[in-house]
Amino acid sequence: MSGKADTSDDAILSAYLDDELSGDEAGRLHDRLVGDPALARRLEEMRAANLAARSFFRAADGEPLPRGVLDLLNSDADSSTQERSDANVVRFPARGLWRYFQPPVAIAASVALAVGFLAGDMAHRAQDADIPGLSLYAGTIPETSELYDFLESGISGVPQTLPGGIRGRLMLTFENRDSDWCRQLQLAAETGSVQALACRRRGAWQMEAVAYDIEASPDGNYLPASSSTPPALDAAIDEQIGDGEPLDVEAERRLISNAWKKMDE
Amino acid sequence: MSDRRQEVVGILPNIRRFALSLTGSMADADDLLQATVERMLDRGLPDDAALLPYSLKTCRNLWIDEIRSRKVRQAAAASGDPLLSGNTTTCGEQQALGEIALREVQAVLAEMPEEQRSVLELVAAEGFSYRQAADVLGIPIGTVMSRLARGRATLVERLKN
Repeated sequence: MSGKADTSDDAILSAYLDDELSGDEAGRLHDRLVGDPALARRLEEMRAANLAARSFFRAADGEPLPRGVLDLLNSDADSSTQERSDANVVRFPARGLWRYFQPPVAIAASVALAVGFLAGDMAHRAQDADIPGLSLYAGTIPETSELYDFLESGISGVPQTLPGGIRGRLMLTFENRDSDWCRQLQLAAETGSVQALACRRRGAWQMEAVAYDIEASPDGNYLPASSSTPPALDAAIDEQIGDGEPLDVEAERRLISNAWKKMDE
Repeated sequence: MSDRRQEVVGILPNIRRFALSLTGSMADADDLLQATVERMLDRGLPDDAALLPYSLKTCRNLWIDEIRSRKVRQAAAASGDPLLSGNTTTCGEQQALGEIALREVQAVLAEMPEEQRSVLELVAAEGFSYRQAADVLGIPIGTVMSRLARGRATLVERLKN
C-alpha cells in the first residue's frame, strides 16, 4: 500500500512509540509498517514530534530553580544537624569515587544543601545566576571512601590514579578564614572532570564547591579539561582563603604527617 | 535536612517541568512549583507514597483548584510572557532537536490545550507509562492515549508548515 497515511492511525502509532501496545497489536502494526511507507513515515514524524516535545521540556532544566523553593526545603531543618560529630550519618553514600560522577541532581538529592543551588541534570550544568558554572553544596565525605583518603594524605601536584580509573590531582592547600584546612582538587573520568574545593572541618572533609568541566571532542571522546581553575571556583577560593597563602610542598607534607594539626598544637 | 526532603530536592526539576506543562509559562511554573512544595510541607511528606507521583498530583490539584483561575485573570490584563526566557537550551538538547528550532516547538506548545501539553510532558519528558500518567492526571488511560496522539499530531502538522 502507498499513499498518505490515515491520521486515524495516530493513536495506535503514538502508543507504539510508547511501547504501550500488546504483543499482538505491536506485531500487527509492525507488519503494516513494513508494507506501508506512508504509515512508516507518519511514525517517524510522530517520533520526531515526541523528541521535540521532550527536548523542549527538558531544556527548562537550564533555568535556575527558584531560590525560595530551596529555602523552603532548608527551613525548619533540624539545626542540630549542622553540628554533627564525625561519628554521625554522612551525606555521600560510601561507594567510592564513582558515586561522585552521578548526574548532579542525583548527587544533590543525597546531600544537605548549605547554599540553595542545584546543578542541572544536563551535562553537569550549574544553576547560579551570579556564578555560572559553579554548584555549591555541603556534603561530608565518608571516611571509608577513596576520596577521603586522597584528601587526607595526597600531596599537591602529584597525579594519582584512583579506583574506577579516575585521575586525581590535588592542586593547593591553604588555611581558610575559619582556620580550617582546605584543598583544591581536580578529578577526571571518562564522563568529564570536576574541580572542587574541600575543607576539613572537625576532622571531616566536606565538599564546599564543585565546578563541572566537561569537554567532548567532535567524535564524542572525552578530552582532558584544562588545568586552569574555573573562574567560578576561583571566586569561591578567594572568599575562603582571605589574605592567606597556599602551603608549599614541605609545609603540606609536615601538616599531613602531623594528622592535619599545626606543629604547635 | 531529612532524607524525605532531600528526595524532594531531587525531583524539583521533574515537578517544575510538569508545572510548565500546566501553566504554559516559566514564571508561572516557578510559582506553581513553590506553591506545590509549600503545600507538601504543610501537609507533611508521606512516608508510604512514591514521592514523584504524589508531588505531581499535588501540583495538578493546586493548579486546578486554586491557581489557574487567578492566572487566567492576570493574563487577561497583562501581555503574554514567553514560555521560556532567553535561550535556555543546552548543547545536548539542541543537538537532539536537530533541525527543529526550540522556539518553534515553544510556539506550538504554547497554543496547545493544557490537557494535551501535560500528557505530553508526563509521557515524553518524564517517561511515565500511560497508567502512571492517568493516575497523576485523574483520567482514563484511553484519554491519555488520545490526548497524546492529538498533541503529537499537532506538533507534526505545525512544525511541518
